[in-house]
Amino acid sequence: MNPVIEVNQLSKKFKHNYGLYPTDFKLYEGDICAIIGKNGAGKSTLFKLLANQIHPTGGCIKLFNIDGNKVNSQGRKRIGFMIETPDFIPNFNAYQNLHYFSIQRGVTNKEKIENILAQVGLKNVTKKIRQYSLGMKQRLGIALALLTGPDLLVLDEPINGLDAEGIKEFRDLILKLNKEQGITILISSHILNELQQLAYRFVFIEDGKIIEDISKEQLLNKGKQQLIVKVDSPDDAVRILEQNIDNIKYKVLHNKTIAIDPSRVESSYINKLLLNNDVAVEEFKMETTNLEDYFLSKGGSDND
Amino acid sequence: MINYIKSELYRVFHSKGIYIYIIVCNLLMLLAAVILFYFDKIEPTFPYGNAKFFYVNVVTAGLLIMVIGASMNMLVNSKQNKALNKISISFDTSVSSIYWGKFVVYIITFLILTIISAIVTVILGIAFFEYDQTALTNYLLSLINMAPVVFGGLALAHAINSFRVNLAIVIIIISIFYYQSSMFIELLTIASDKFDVIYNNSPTELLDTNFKNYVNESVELGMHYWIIGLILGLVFLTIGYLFYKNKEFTD
Repeated sequence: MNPVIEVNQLSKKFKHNYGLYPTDFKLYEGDICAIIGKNGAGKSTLFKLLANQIHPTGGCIKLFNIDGNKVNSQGRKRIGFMIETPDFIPNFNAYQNLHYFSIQRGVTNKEKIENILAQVGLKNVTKKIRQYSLGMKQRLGIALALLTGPDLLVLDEPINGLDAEGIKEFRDLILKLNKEQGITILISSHILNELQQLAYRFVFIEDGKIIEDISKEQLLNKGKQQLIVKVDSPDDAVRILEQNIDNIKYKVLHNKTIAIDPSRVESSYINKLLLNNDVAVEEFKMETTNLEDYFLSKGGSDND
Repeated sequence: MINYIKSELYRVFHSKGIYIYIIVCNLLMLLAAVILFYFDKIEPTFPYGNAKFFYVNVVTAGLLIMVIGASMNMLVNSKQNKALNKISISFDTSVSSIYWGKFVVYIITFLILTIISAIVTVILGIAFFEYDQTALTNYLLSLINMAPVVFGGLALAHAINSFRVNLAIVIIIISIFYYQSSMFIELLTIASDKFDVIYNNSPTELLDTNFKNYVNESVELGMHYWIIGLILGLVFLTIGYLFYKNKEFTD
C-alpha cells in the first residue's frame, strides 16, 4: 500500500515549548487511523500542520507519495479537512456556505452540494448557521470536508456535540466512505469507544510525542482481563487490599470504581475480603480492557 | 486567486453590509441636500443653498471618506471573516491569494459605493439646486484627484486590518498619517527648505490643495495625486504583505 501521508521529523515549537517534537509518521492508503491523546498532547498541532494552518519548525510532510512543497499543494487539494469545529459564515445557510467554499475550489455543482448535505442530514435545513447547534455545525464541517470528493479525510474531533443517533450516522458514513470509495481517514476524538469501532490503527500521542502506534489486532491482543469493583468507600477498599494482598495491581477509576489485575489473586477472595471488612460492594464483574481502558492505563484521561 | 476573489464577492454581495453602507452614505447626502435646500427656501440671505456648496461637502471630506473606507474593510477582514481563512488555507488557497484577493474585493466594493454615491450626489445637486456646470465639472475633477489619495488610505487600512487590530486603532493610525503627519512635516520645513517638496506632496496637502482649487473653481487633473497615492498605497500593501505572508492561522 502507498503512503498518503509521510511525515519525517516533523516538529512544531511554539513560543516556549514544543507542540510537536520531531515526529515520524506514515498513513497508508485505505487505512482508518485514530490519533489518541489528552488535550494539548499534540493531536491538533499535527492536524494543523497537515492543513498548512501553521508552519513546521522542522521536518517535512510528503503527501500522496510525492515530495516537494508545490506537490504538497496539489496533494492538499485531495484532502478534506475538518480541524476542530470549523467557523462558517453565520448569516448564510448550509447550502450558501458550501457554495462559497466550492467557488473557492473552482467546483460549483449544485447537485453535488445538495447530495453532500443529504449525506450529513442537512439537505432541507434552511436555518442560518448562527441558529445551528454544535452538532449541526459538526455535520456541516463533515460536509465541507467531503465537498471536493477527497481521497483522504483528516477529521479532528468530528463527533463532538453529536447526539447518539448522529454518532451512529457518522460512523456508518465514515465506514461507507472507507469501504466503498476507498477514502483514507485520519481521525481524532475523545469518544474512544467510538474510535475503537472505526479505526484499524491507533496512534497514541503524549506531550507532543508519538508514544505508541498499534493496529487493532495488537490492541485486542493487549486487551487483558480486569476485575471491576464498585464500592461505597474506595479509600477503605484500597487500604484493605494493600494490607492483605502483596504486590496487588489496581487503578482507582472514576465513580468509586477500582480496576484490579486479577492475575495475582482469586476474585472470590477479594470479594470476601471487602465484605468481611464492612466495605459495601455495589458491583463486581470481570471485564476485558477496551481502547478507553488501554488509554487510561497509559496515564491518559479522555476528559481533561 | 480568481476563485478566491469570486467566492469573496459572492459572500460580500449576499450579505447586508455593503447595502447598508450604500443606503446610509446616500441617505446622508440626501439629508445634506434637503437641509441646504430647506434653509435656502426659508432664509433669503442663506449663502449655501447652491450646488457648489453641496458638492463641497464631499470634496472637503477626504479624511472622512477614508475613515468610512477603513470601516468598510471589515466587510472582508472582520473577526468572523478572518476565521474563514483557516478553512481557505486548508483548501489550499495561498496566503498571498487571501491577502491580495481580499484587497481586490475591498476595492471593488468601495468603488461600487463611491460610484453610486457620486452619481447620487450629482443627481441631488441637479435636482435640488440651480444647475451649475462649473461646479459640477470641478466636483467631478476633484473626485478624480481625491481617488488615488483615498486609495492610499484604504491600502493602509487593509494592511493593518489584516491582523488582529481594533478598527478604532486603524482609524486613529489613518488619521495620524493622513492628517497629523503634515503638521510634523511642516515643522521640518521650518528647519530646511528641502522638506517643502515632501510637505507639498503629503496626502493632507494634496487633499487641501484639491479643496482650495475646487473653491477657486480652478481644479485640474493632477498626475502627482496619482503618483503619490499609488506609491503610498503599494508601499503600505507590500509592508503589510511581508508581515502577513508568515502568518499562522490558529484563531
